Amino acid sequence: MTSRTIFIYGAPIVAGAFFLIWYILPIGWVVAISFWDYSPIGRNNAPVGLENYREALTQDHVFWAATRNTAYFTFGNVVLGTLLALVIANALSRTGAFTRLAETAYVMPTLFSVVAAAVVWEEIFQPRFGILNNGLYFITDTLGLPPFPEIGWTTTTEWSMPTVILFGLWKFLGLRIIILLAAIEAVPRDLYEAASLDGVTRRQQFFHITIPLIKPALWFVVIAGIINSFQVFEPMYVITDGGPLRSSISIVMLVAETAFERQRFGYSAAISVILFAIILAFTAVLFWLRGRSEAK
Amino acid sequence: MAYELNRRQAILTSAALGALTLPQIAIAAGHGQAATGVPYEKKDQINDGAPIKLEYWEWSGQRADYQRKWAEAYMAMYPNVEIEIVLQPWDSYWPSLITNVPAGAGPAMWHMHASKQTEFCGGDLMDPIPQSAADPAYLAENWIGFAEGAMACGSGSIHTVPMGAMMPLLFVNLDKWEAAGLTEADVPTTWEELRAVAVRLTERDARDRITVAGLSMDGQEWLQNAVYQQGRYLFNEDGTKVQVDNPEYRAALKFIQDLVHTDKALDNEIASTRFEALPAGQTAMYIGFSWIAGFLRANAPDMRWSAFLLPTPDGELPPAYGNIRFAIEAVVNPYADDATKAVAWDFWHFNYSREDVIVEDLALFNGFLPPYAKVLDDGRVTEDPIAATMAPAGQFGVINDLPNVIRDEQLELVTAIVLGQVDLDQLLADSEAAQNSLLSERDDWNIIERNYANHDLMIADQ
Repeated sequence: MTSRTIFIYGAPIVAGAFFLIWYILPIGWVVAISFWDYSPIGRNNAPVGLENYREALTQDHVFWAATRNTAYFTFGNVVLGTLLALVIANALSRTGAFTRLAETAYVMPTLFSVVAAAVVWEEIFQPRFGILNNGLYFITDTLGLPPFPEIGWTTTTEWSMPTVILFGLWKFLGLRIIILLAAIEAVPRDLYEAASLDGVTRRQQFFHITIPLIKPALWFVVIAGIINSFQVFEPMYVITDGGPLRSSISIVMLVAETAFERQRFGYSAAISVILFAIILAFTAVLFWLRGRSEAK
Repeated sequence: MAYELNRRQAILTSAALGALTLPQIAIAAGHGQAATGVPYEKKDQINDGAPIKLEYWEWSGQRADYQRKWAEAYMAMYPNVEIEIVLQPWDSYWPSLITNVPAGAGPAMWHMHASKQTEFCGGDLMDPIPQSAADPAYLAENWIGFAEGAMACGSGSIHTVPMGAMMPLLFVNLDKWEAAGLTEADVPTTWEELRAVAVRLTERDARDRITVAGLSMDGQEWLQNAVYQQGRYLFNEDGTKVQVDNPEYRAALKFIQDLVHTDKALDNEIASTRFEALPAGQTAMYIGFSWIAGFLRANAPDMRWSAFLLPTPDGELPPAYGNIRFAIEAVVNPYADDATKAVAWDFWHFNYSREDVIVEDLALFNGFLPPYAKVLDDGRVTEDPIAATMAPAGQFGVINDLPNVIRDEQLELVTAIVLGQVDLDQLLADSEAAQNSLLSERDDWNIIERNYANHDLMIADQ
């Protein structure tokens, strides 16, 4: 048997084994234990059928709070993040000399670890001593404006989610800008020149040339953003610890808490499977919409 | 007024704490290297002289410093042994252990935490102490925590020794205290006095924004201690249900409500346990367990501070002062191979048989009372200000370590009050239901509060 033959037959086996061990088996295991009252350190592991799913969907108000918060984060992070990235990328594509400098500035937050950045922002958001509130106080005091109220960025139920979204926008904006900027810069310049000669305004160029031609990149940003946002964990965990009063707990935080704090790995697995189903459903719908959009 | 100790085996802690103010306590025989009841003797060699490496996990950098010294002393005796103290952050510490240990991996030893004991007992994740390292009868007779039932798994097996006993205290920044014109005569002994002092210590800027809170606290700990102080236990008699929807819980929460919303003197971030606010000068007083003394000694050597007994509703220690907790020490991985386990247990034995280690490292360094009766009349202990402060309250301490899930729910209660929840009746009813639901997820919680030495002083028939 030649080395070429070995490679031809061996490569798929290695790839398949890798896929089986690192993807199929763990997913299968999670699905399997979601039907059990299971803990790796439990003595009374027993099958419970659909009970874990029933509990999550009909009984556990924290699960629904986590689902709402995750949807809220996803909406804020994806919609605001994509719009903001689109506007900035479009502006950067026209600034010439400053483009690279600005790109670097926007991408910088992406390079920090989420946890390290969140720790810093936790201090910035600290209501009494953080520089954000104190900066606002300084401005209003200096200008002689009415006193700025103390905003409980991380300590009130009203502000905890906006705070986490704000962090998410700062942290994840850079990558979106890079992707969209690359797509915008790939649009042939002569299309814009021809449009200008025909009297098309810049605004019209943006909606009728730029947007249609960068659609694949936009779809990618939206779909990847939704998948990542539904799995959000670190920003909430570090900045607000899911609080106060569970007002910023995410689904993945609940998965971790249920497994490692309450040792209910079976229940935690059921929540994971539900999350998987939600992401799958969203992704399927988005791919369908993309297909329809491209067909037009 | 004299209060008789009424349960011999359940009051070793109280007796031990009381001994700090008494001339002597009856102690078992022993010497400086036999604190576990089995004298440690240096062997000619260990592991047959073959090289062996052990990992010892710890989450506190403060403790890791003295643990490294233990390891160095041990490795000097047995050069074939390498012990690495590995620092792991608290948040990943427990998930790593829970997933690694049953899989036959994980460290040979790790520092244990009392709040995780039930789960680790349930999963057989700690090796029982072998007879060669400690004598259980000796531990029960001479160490706190064993006789009270705080150290054993449901099966009765024991796996480690306590670090010491800690109690809640009121920590005060003396610079801020004196700047407010307060003297020793103003040290609060009642809740009302505490409110008044907190108001005086609160500093505001020109726009009436708090710049220094008068008081901050671990809200969950306040709640627990305040309920005990009024004679109410946290659980029913068999430990299967919580007792939340009652006047004592309500009064404890009302105190916080008044401080936050009426007096505006309480740090509204009490829910996030910002004990660092005290050395940072962001709060003038802090209520927390005595381990904070160790933190302040290590991290704020220039700060002038003092610690006092926690105020009670009427200034009296009975019916109860508050909670006594036992932090606990290192355990050995039951799934480690036999050679590793043998060395780990020998290292364990070497550490905890030494009185100097117990007094200086385990206890006083961390702001605890030593767990070993024989050392309670040691000059280092009797002269320690934290130990001396706690001593009078010792016999009124309720021994119990709450399940983590209950602690979290108590903190939620305090948070709701801080955030302006005013319907206390609804809040208490909802919380009781939530806590009972979480408690029902296991049936092996080690609820031992009813072993309280002065049980007769608590509310009857609760």
